[in-house]
Amino acid sequence: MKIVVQKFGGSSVADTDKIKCIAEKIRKRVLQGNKLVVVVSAMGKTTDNLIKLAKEISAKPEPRELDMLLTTGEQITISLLAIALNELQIKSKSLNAVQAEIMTTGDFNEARIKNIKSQKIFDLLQEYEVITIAGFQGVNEEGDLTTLGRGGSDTSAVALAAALHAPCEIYSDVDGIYTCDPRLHPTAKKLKYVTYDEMLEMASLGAKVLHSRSVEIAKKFDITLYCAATFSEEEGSYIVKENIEQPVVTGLSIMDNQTQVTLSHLPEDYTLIHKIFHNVAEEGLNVDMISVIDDDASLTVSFSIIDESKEDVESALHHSLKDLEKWNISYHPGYSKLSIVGVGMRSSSGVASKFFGALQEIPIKLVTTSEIKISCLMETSFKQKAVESLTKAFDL
Amino acid sequence: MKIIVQKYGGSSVADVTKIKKIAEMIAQVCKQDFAVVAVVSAMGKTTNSLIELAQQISQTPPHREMDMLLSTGERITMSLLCIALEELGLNAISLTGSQAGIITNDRHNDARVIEVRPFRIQDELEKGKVVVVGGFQGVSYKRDITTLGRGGSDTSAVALAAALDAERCEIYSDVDGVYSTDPSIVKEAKHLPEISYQQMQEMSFAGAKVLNAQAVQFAKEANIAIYARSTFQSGKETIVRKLAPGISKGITSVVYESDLVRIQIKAGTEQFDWLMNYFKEKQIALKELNFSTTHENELQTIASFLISYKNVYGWLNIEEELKNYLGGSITFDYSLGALSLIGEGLNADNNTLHKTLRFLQENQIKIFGITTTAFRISLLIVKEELINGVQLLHKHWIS
Repeated sequence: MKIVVQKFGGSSVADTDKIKCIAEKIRKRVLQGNKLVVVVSAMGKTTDNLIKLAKEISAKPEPRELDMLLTTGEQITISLLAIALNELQIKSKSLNAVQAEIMTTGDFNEARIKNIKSQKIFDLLQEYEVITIAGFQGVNEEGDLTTLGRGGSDTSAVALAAALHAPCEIYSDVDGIYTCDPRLHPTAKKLKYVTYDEMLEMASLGAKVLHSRSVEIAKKFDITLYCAATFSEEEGSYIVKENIEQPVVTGLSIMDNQTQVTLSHLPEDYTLIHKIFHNVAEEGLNVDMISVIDDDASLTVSFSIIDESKEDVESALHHSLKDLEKWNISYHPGYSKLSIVGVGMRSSSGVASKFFGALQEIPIKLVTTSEIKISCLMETSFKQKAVESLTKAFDL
Repeated sequence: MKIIVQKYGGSSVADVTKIKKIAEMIAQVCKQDFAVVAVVSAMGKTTNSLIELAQQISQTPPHREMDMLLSTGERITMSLLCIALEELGLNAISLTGSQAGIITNDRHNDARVIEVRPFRIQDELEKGKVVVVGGFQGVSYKRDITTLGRGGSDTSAVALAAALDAERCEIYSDVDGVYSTDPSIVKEAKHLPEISYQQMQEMSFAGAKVLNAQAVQFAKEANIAIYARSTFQSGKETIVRKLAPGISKGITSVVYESDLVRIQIKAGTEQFDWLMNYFKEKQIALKELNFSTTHENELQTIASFLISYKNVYGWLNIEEELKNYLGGSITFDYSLGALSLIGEGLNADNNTLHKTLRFLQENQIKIFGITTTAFRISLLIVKEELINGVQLLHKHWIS
């Protein structure tokens, strides 16, 4: 039995015409001899509309009830898709998360998948050609429905693929992974292969194709991911363990709305640094691109955050430093972070030199590197120019 | 712990404002030291919109998938109502039909409740929570989601009231109880402050859309009183319960049903058996069955059935299939409707029937069939005459 897991996002199932198109696409795969497990999201704006209803009643809806509400969205899609498939004489059955036994933690609104009892799905696939499964949702030990948070349907699909030892195909309105955002760089090339590690760097850096949690699961269980456009026959991109072609730099990713936070005139007390980042982490806030400079018996700490977390970071910092007399803080919002990513960087030299060579006319605010990426922060007004130089320098 | 089960129909929860009002009504009942289980329907036209979506895809959607689809409607309402209750400071929890322990057979789209295991509800009530249950839905022993057919939320509510040994079951809708006939047709329709289980059942069976017949059956078995009330208008109510014998002699109401098809078949035993099996397999409920066998040349069965076709999903396809198999020996007649008189001791003598028939004859209403029970006289007449018939009979027997 050759099982394939497919996932279709909200815009791919936005109306019944699209659902019929997808059913036709699935039918073709079935006729090629595959058994399919199809994970779907809620139709178009359904989830947003449901949230809106809840917010009309309460500014902070009870989390368990919100999940009970939101999980109806996917259940509508799975049944409609099963109806469409049966209409095409493809025997299929829909399962919600309770029936598919997608077991999660009890953290409503942001549950994590613990395990999936795959035997039931294997059994059903003996009888049915296609099983449609509600994405984004699971069930906790009490039998209550949970949701998986952002990018949850991707996570559902990859976790099912892991449980069924099957490849996973993610269909959306994005037709693959590009070397750079085509809106910023129209001649960006579509990548046939990207490695998990590169994808993880790019996903967390703003290439909004796949949620990083799903890539992490794929990496852990060595599941081949395939991303392509729903309504096109054009080949998409594969996310794999190793890329034989191994270019030095695979892609350039861009993240806007960054704020640089700089603390200066801090006493030369390194426990203070721990204290600062501990308090920030306690608030669940993410910081990136940290630099610490020790200058003339005082410390300057600089890091980047996303614009919208400024207020929360500010209160965490004031809390950390309230006992100190003399220190300075400055915020620079509206920056962009550009990163080049590539596993080939591990074994090549001269990448950094080429990187800074391409950016020599641009004032860079912060820099961080890892084994497979170099990131820098700059004013957003320089973004376009930087994209042009970097794509040219690395042939992206 | 004194438990009250309440049920709120679709028009009572049609929008967020109404849901908030209902949350306040429930909060009032909680203050009187009652534990409340609220059963809710889907909001306003939600179910119809979902059916429409499915029909854009298929005229013959699999029943199991339709139930998966339709059961989302009540889930939306129940979670919103809980969010509203929490907002008022109450502890509330919503449960699906499956979580509430409503076990049904697997007749999808029109399932029967066969058992209620309300353990989770009892646990949550013990914790002091208001329990909100999605009406109209259950779970089959195969663990598939089922729905209970038209008026199924009533059945959910009464079945839960019986299983929880509730003080009473309150059914809230946009009407303030049961009338002697449809008040939109007859202005003089009389409000009935109380009515027996038996009569209520006969009314539902005969087409009255006030309470679901299976719901009344459950209430009767468990001796739970049903209070039918208007949601946003206090005042009148109808109590359905066991009445002292002799209280309601004579005719209490006039009911009609127009969505009927009469099927007539004249066929050999083999074809007839096939048809009966077909109805059984498709789980189609037959309202009336008249039957006779003749031995002229060979064994022949002549039979006629009535079916409420609106309750049968994909009816047109079923009709097509029957025509294909049975050809000229089966006919479908959509021209008739049923007019029913409900009361007690109606067949004690032939007086009521006799007078009714004569009265209709005087008014030039032709009768195509008659069924009588102790509580009901049903007459088949041309659909176009139904409303006129209701008005005439109501005037004659009641007002």
